[in-house]
Amino acid sequence: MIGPWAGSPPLEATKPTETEASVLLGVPLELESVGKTFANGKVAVQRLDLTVAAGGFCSILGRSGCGKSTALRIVAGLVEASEGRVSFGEIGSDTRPRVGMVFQESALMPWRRVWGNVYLPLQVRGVSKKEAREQVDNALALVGLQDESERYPRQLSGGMKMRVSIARAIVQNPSVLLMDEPFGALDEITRWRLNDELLKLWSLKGWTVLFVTHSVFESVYLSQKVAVMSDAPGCVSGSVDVGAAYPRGDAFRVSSEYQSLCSRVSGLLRPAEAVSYP
Amino acid sequence: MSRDAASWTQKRWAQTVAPVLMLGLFLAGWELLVKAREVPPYLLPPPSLIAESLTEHRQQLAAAWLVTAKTMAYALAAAVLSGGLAAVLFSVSRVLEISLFPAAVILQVTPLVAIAPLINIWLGDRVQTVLVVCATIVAFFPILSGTVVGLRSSDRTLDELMTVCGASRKQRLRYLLVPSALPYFLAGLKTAANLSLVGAVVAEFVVGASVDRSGLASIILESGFRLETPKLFAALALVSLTGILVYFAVHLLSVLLLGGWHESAGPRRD
Repeated sequence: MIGPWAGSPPLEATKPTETEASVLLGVPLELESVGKTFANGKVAVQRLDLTVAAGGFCSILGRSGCGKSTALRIVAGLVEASEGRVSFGEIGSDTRPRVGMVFQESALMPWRRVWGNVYLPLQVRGVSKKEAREQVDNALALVGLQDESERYPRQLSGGMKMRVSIARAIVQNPSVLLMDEPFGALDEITRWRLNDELLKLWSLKGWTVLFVTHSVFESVYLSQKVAVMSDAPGCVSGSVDVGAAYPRGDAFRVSSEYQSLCSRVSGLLRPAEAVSYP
Repeated sequence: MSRDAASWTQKRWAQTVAPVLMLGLFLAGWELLVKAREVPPYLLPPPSLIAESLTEHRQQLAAAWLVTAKTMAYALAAAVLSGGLAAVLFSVSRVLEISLFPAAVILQVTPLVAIAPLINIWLGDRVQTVLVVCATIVAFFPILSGTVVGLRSSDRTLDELMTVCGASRKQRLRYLLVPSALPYFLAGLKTAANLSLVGAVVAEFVVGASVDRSGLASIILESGFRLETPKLFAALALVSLTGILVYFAVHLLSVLLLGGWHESAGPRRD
């Protein structure tokens, strides 16, 4: 099921340099009336429907505690859905595609250097250091950290840590990239820069991206589709398609199109009866 | 930058020279006081006499030191192996932890002096083994409890990361749990290293090692009976020195293993 918003990302802007596996399009992602009731009886997510086309960029927007992180964790396989199902196109529900995940905090292993942190997913899959060398170096180069590979996480700034975290998520060429409020703790300038870098990488690699955030501006700037979640128990209460072409830049950020999309999304986020001045 | 370097060397200088200077002053004061008040050497010998006794009995003392140091080293090695292994088993199986942890606590809270005679009865003809077992019992617990806490304190998000990567239990242990536990293990090791020396000395006292196998503790006992106080002090100094040596060895090990990434091994923040 491919929505009208699912225009394939333009690939002409940055030419892939690697010879193999350069255009690895993501797989479609579908959540069908997914629900999650925790052991303590709390219903975090209820009847959640969401479709993301192969290689699409979708944001889940909602307030704190609305269950958007839970929804992402269900897709990641960290939490088992109590109802409904998650499927990845033709792959079927039993075989999972390769998933890369970026967490809220950069979640790096403090005892590993930058290189070792990015190597971890490959190491778990049994790839030797020698075989992984090129792949890890490439991932580090993609996020601009090729010169920092020997440093420890504690020697890096917040933005650099997040870049390492992204490199670690993409090092194994995932089909699906899941991001859980990755830039929430960064300052605005760093955040914008990382937004642009992320879009550049995405148009280069074509993963299916599911991006959880609570920033209206970020969600509109990044995605092809913004799915707005209601308060807990969360479900998708509305979605807005963002048709603007990539690469998006500062021009898009100040355009009237961007403004009106942001206000539409904000309207969806706000419950109807919330604003009332005496 | 140069000012920082200067203050660093200054600090370094103060760190090494100040304690040595302090020790020198202390010994000099001791010497002078004993000489001035004419304190009999069997009550409090001056440092010079202790040094003399140290050289005079050096063969006997060296042999005794070797016995104690060996006991300590074996005990520490045994404690690290058994404590570490038990901690890993506990982290793997909750049932095992619940059923065995009380036993470890009982062993820990019962004074060594009270258990030693029993061990002596069971393994009496092998003195060295008795000593090692006694010292191991004392050194075991800090390793166990430190490592158990360490294995449990791994970051939750990193745990989720391992799940997303599809890590097996073994990989999780190797790549996440063991490195997370390392600082805690080393903190336990620091305590255990000193306790193994204490255990070795106490065990020698209690077991009353035979003459040919006597360690530093038996020399202390024997010299005490004979009022050979300078020799007693000489043996005591060797015990302390051994303790200090082991402490620094463990400290060096933790700096080597944790240097660069863990706060505890980094430069002190004033």
